[in-house]
Formats: sequence, C-alpha cells, structure tokens
Amino acid sequence: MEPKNIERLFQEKLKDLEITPDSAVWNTIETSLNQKKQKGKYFIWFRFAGIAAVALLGFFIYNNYNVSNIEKILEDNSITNTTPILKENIKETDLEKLVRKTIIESNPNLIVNSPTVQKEKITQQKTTQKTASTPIIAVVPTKSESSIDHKKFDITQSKSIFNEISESKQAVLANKNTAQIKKAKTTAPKDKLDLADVLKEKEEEKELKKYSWAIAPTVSQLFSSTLAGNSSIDASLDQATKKGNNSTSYGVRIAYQASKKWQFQTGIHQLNLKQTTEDILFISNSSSDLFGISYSDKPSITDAVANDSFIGFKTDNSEGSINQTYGYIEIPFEAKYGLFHTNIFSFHLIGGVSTLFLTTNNLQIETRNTSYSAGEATNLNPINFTLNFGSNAEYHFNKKWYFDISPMIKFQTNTFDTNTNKPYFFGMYTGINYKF
Amino acid sequence: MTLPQIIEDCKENKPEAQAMIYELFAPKLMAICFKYSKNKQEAEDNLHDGFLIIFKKIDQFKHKGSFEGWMKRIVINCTLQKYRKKNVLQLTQEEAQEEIFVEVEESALNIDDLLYMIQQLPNRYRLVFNLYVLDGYTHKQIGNMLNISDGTSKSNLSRAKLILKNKLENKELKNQNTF
Repeated sequence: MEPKNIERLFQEKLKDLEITPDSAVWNTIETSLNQKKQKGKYFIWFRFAGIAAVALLGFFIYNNYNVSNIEKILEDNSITNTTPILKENIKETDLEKLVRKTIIESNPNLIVNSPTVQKEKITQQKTTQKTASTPIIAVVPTKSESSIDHKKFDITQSKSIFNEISESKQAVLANKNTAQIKKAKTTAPKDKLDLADVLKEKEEEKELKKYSWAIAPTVSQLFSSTLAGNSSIDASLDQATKKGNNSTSYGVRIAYQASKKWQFQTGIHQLNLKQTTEDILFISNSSSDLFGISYSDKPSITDAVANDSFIGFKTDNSEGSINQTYGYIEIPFEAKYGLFHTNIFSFHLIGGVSTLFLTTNNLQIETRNTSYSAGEATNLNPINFTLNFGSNAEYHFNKKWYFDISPMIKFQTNTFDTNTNKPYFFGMYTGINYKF
Repeated sequence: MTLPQIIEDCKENKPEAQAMIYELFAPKLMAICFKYSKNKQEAEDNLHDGFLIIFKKIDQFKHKGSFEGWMKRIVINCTLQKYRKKNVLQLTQEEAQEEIFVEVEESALNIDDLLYMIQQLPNRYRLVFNLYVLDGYTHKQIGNMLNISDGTSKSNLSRAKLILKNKLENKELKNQNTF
C-alpha cells in the first residue's frame, strides 16, 4: 500500500461519474417549462395591451392637438370683437399649449420606453400548483448504450448513503408502482415551488423596502359628461344638445408603498372641464336674464334658448353654442391594491376621493363668427369633491423607473349648488414614475 | 438527429428536444449536483433549477466550445448561487498545506463512500474541493466565484483534504478490523 495523493485518488475514482436522477425530477422540470410557456402567452397579451395603450395615448395627443387648433382659429376670428375677458381666454390657451408641449416632449420617451419595444424578458420561473398542468408523460432517463462503459452509480441501490432521505421518498424508490409515481409527481413540484416562491418573495420584499416612495409627473386626457341630461347653466337649456369636451389634466403624483399589496397616493393636479351646450339660439335685448350667469359688461346677448324650441327669425350671429369651462386644482387621496404583479408588470385597483378647488369659471359663447365670454357661472361651488374609481397598470423599466397608465372615472359631488346636473369625468392618467 | 439540431430545436422550446437534452445529459449533471450538494434532495433541487436555466438561456449558446461544458458551468453556478444567498461561506482562514497523502487500499474504496465523504464536508470546503480538485478551477477563479480571497480558497482546500484524509484512514482502520 503506497501513500497516495488525496487529490489524485478522488480525481481517478470520480472521473466520468454519472448518476441517474429520479424520474420525478424531470416531471417537475417539465411542469415548470409548461408553466413558463403559459406565462409567455400572458406576455404576448401584455404586449398587445402595451401597444393599445400607446395607440390610445397617441390618439389623445392627436385629438388634443386638433381641438387646440380649432380653438385657436375661433379665437383669431373673435379678435374683431375683442373684450377684456378675451385675454383670459388667451391665457387659458397658453396653459393648454404648455400642456400640449409637455405631452409632446414626454412622448418620445413614451415611445422609446414603451413595452412594445422592450425585449421580452423571461422572468424567474414561478411554479404554482394552482393551474393544473397537462398530463405528463414521464421520460425516464435511460442510459445510452455508449455510456455503459462508464462507471455507474445507481442511487436506488445504495441506500446506505441516503439515510437522510425521507421515508416516503424511499417508499417511492423501492416500490415503483404507478400509483406511487403519480404521488411523487404531485408532491415533488410542491416542494420546489415553495422554495422558489419563498426566495422570490424575499427578494421582492427587499426591493420594496428599498424604494417605498415614487414620484411622477402625470398627464391625463379627460372626457367629461353628466349623469343627468339637464343643463348646468339654465333649465331653459335642458332640451339642447349637451356634449362633454375633451380636456387635459396634468400634475404631480407621489405614492407610498405601504405593504406588498397596498399603495397610497396623493398629489396635485390642474384640470379644466368643459361642457358644451350646442345648437342654441341667442336672443338679443331680452328682458329675462339667464339664471346661471352673472353677466360681464360687454355682451349684448341676454337670452338663449334651445334652437328646436324657437320659432322666429334667425340670423347667422344668433345661432351657436355655450362652452362652459370650470377648472380646478385637484388634490386626490387614493389607495391602490395590487391584484397581481411580475417583475415587469403589475396591475392594481384604485379607489379614493379628491378635493377640487375652483380656479377657472367661464362661460364662452360661440356663434358662427364670434366667440366671447358671457361671464361666470354663479352656481359653481368653490370646493367640491369627487369619488374616484379605476385601475392601474405599471410597466417597470428597471428598479427605479416605471411607466403607468390608469383609466379612472371620477364622479363629482357638490359641484353646483342649485342644479341637479351630475357631472363626472373619465380620465386616462399616464405617468413616468421615479422610485426613491 | 445530431446534437446541434437538438439544441436548435430546444431554442424553439420544442418539448421533445428538451426531453432529449435531459435524457442525454441529466446523469452527468446529476453527478455534479451530487458532489456539490449536501444530500440527494438538495442535488435534485439544483438539477431542477440548473435545467430550467439551461433551457431559458439555451439561445445564448452559439455552438462555440462544448455544450456539455457550457451546461456544467451553469449547473455549478446554480449550486454556488444558493450558497451565496444563504451566506454560509464565512469561515476563518487557516494555514494552507499543499500536498496531502493518504495510505489506503484503493480497491476497497467504493464510489458511494467517497461521495458521501465529500457531501459531509462543511459547505465551503465541499465547494472549494469540488471546484479545484474535481473540476479544475484555479484558486483565483474560485476566489472570484465564491467572493473569497485566493488564500482563503487554498486554506479551505487544505482543510477539506485533511478531513477527507482522516475519514479515509478511519475507514481503512475499520476495514482492517473486519478482516
């Protein structure tokens, strides 16, 4: 017996070692691979959702651009009838230009970072038992003939090594009838899934703890409308066609991640809501004033009725519409509940309330040739509230940055003090969020 | 069907190709997992995770170099990853001893016993011994892989060898007593 270098001893003995794993291992791998594929399908769905969101956004911007153009033309036309109040309007459109500018400026980012361009990242496999996997045909690895020469080490025969293996496992190995193999199939993946899940959750918790705040500039396209059909201006216009106009809201939002599922957000938003009452006939020098308007000096038009209900002589200047604009500073407080999330995507439900402080209040009369302010609505409350509901999808570029889009519906309460017109608005809020 | 063809099919996520790759290489990779892990259960977990990574990253394999070597590296990294996460690699540094010899009757040693001895080593000793002795990594590489210094790797190897030597000699004694 000669002294032997211990390294060489092990190298020689363990060279070309092969060990056949249990068939259960392949079954769990196969299950995991199948689930990965299913996940892949979700990603395709997400991609479509992403494309749709970007397309929608593009549509809003385009739409907004056009509306602003038309407004500009109207203003140009109305220069002949310049009134002090018109300056207010110009101010307002400056504001809108600013909004448009910010949208356009932020737009290239949106497109560059949009989910559609992102290369599909396959996230860590999450093996859940909930979704029943398709029946598995076990592929038991059999040694190829060429490997027969190799030293074999059959686990199943050397029980002495595996004292630590649980009894149930040994039973499966010892007695390989189909029933028990089935049992192994169903129990083995469960063990694995727990481990993977726990690790993943731990990592995610770490991440969440690191960055629990997020700040985002937000832009939203708003569509306003009312639950009740009656006019917000005067009962005499209840018959006239009323239409909610598109407008834009922008602001800053700050969010706090309170737990894995719950997020709270607040912020400050500027918004202008518009309602147009169309197809109206303005009548000059009438003795009765419109109920809801405190007249400014200039306009000579003192009454208006829905076109349909008027029989008499009409001039070009007497037909038109009333644009009611009411602008607010909005301070929302909302809670977000996470329904599901991956490393890249997450989806939430949102509920909350907003306090609105009235900042702009204008009634604009537009006829074929002119546009001028008819003054302020007297029935608007300086402070009112909205009930907010919506959902939210986040797309994470990396640990610090994410893009989010949330369709929200906000029901206004206490908007008018004398009126049953119940306005609400639908907004598509988007933001680029920075976590810190 | 040739191996490169099977690999290409795997890149398209074809289940039959994945099953074939598993069938061809699972025994060799299981042997690696077995050496690097504490027990069979852990080895099977590592094999499972290793194969998932292999199938996920197979499109990165460009047929340069050995496919088996590529898979081995993934599986080894996968097992090391677990220990990095568990942070069980903090042991103190000791003096390294280069060559260690043992007097044993080689024919009386069976592979099961040797594997069992390796598995019984403390985690980092086991990893360093495997990486250096059985898979031919240098101390520098091991240092990088395990986030330790070259010296620590050397001293760990030395400790591992001493433990194995004791075990082998005890076994030898037992064998002699039975005669």
